[in-house]
Amino acid sequence: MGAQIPMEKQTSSPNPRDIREASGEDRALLSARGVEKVYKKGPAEVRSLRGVDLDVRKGELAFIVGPSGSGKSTLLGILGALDRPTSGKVWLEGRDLFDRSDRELAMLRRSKFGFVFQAFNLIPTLTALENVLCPLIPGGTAREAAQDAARLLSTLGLGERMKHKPFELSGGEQQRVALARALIGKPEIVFADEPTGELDSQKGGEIIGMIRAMNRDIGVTVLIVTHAVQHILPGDRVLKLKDGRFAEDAPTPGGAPAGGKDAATKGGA
Amino acid sequence: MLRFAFGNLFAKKVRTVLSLILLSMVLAGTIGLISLSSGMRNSVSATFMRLDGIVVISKGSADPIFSRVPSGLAEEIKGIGGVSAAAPEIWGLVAMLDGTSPLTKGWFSAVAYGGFDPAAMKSARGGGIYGKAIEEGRFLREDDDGALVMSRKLAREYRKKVGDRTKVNGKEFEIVGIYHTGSMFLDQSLIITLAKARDLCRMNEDSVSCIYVETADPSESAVKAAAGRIAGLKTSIEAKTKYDWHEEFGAVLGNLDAFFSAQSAYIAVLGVIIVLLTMSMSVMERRREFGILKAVGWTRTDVMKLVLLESAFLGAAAGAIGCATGTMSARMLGGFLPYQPLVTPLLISATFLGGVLLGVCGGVYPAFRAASLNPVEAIRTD
Ligand SMILES: Nc1ncnc2c1ncn2[C@@H]1O[C@H](COP(=O)(O)OP(=O)(O)OP(=O)(O)O)[C@@H](O)[C@H]1O
Ligand SMILES: [Mg+2]
Repeated sequence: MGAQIPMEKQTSSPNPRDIREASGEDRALLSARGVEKVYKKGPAEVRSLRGVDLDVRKGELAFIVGPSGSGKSTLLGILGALDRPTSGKVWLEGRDLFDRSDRELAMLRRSKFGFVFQAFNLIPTLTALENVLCPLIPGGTAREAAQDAARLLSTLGLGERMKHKPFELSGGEQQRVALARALIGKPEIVFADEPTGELDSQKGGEIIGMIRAMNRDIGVTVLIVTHAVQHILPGDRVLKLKDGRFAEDAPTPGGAPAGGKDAATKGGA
Repeated sequence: MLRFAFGNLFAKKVRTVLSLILLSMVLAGTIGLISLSSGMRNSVSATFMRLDGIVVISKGSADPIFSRVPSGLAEEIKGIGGVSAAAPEIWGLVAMLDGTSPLTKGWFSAVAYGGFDPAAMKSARGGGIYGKAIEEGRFLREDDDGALVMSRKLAREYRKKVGDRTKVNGKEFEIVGIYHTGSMFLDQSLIITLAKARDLCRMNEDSVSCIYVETADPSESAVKAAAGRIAGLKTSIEAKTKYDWHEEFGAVLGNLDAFFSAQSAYIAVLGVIIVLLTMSMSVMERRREFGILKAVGWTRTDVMKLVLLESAFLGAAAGAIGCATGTMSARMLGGFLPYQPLVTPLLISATFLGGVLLGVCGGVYPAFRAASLNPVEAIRTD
């Protein structure tokens, strides 16, 4: 069997064979099967994710949308190795993502992932340039890294603001610094959780535009959680999350290379 | 990471400065306490090291002032082999000096007068403890009557110089010399002739306060051997060497040391708590920041290091300030005390290192808290 990822039409709980296949799949950069996350607060349980299946190909740009509380941030946190799932599996380049120590996960985030959050992304005591470099501080920031960071900031139109502290920057500028920081480690995947959440529509559009540009120019894979559907273009891959799983009636903007009913697996442009 | 940690520390200036003040006060306090005790120890040792002879007093009297021994004892002691000098002394307290009571001059201001026999002192090395400490003028001579030798410290306090006259317990004296030993105990004396002292305290001819004895061989074994033989002369006397005084005082200083150790332990606990509170507050406020650092790939260890560095900086800064203010206040205290508090380079570096250590210790728990934050939850909290 083989090459193709989830052929079957199951939605929430995959059978073990799928998992094996998914892990062997070389086209998917990031795959998830049956990912569940349950938060326990005393006797109460919040089932934030109820079995999410997903495949993201290298170089892809996909949006994750859904109502508030549907589990978007939770999912992004698990895909980005910030938190472990209660059950289910995630593979990165065919290898079990969580079959690693916390330390290895941190190193992985440093070298392969980039993150942009909704707001207050930056370290207030550091300048824009230092913020961009901050993922590299523990390993030591070489001069070339500082040059890379300066170049990235210039590309994002912040050449004049490198020595400024976050509170001296507008929201849009702060998000661009965050974007530069996400890119400094030359990541495989950038995870953005509502990167436009605190911005007006125009500034939000600019940020999304920059993310699209870097996806196009350097081929970095991008997962964006957003409420701002106006930034989604026809042809974009959109994954609709509802009550902790991907809705079956998600729109299918592009072709469907992976086939199946699961919206999550439907490919984008 | 160093610069980052440093910057973080001074981002919240008020809190950092407050805890710096508290912490450096605590450290300055240690410097104060320890310098006081070591200054005291120093002064005491300086005193005892000057006493190379043996003091023969009546049994059980802690000080020559309270002692009475027979006048004839000096001659008996001279007969002991190895003894090179045996000089009788009469000691008493000065109730009035120049019309005022010395006790009104402040703490540790009691003054004693000591009557010496200049002829007998001649055979003592350098003319005895006071004789060899003369700075100005001269020591007593055999033909002196109303002559007085005063310490430099008392001369300054009472504004006296060689040639001036002064009244001790109502009797007039002429100051013929100024001595300075540097010992807080020895520099509280007025030296007069034996006859005048006997007159002042109305002691009868057959007694003196004590007898100062020197051996030809000043080695410890010779001094101790002679002291043993002197003590054997009469059951009512003791012969004390500097080694005996040292031992007795050592016990007192030992208690003092225990007290200071307890104080230091208390101070250390206080310091750790100050750092703990400051850094805990800082970490709680910056949950989101640590969440982001972990998200962008900082490991637990990296975050721990950052927080520990910050608290070590806090401790080091407090250490530096504490050392400076502690040294200054010890100097100032020295102006009011009979001896100088001793601030050694060792004390300063130990206090500084102690500050850093307090910082690190107090930072462990906050660092652990920061490192253990779940990044998803830390970023979620606003
Ligand atoms: N640490 C937690 N403890 C308890 N419940 C949690 C926790 N984190 C998330 N949840 C719950 O999980 C569910 C999904 O949360 P999540 O933040 O993933 O939603 P979201 O889709 O990102 O929402 P929004 O669009 O508002 O950001 C919510 O019901 C939330 O209350
Ligand atoms: Mg969210």
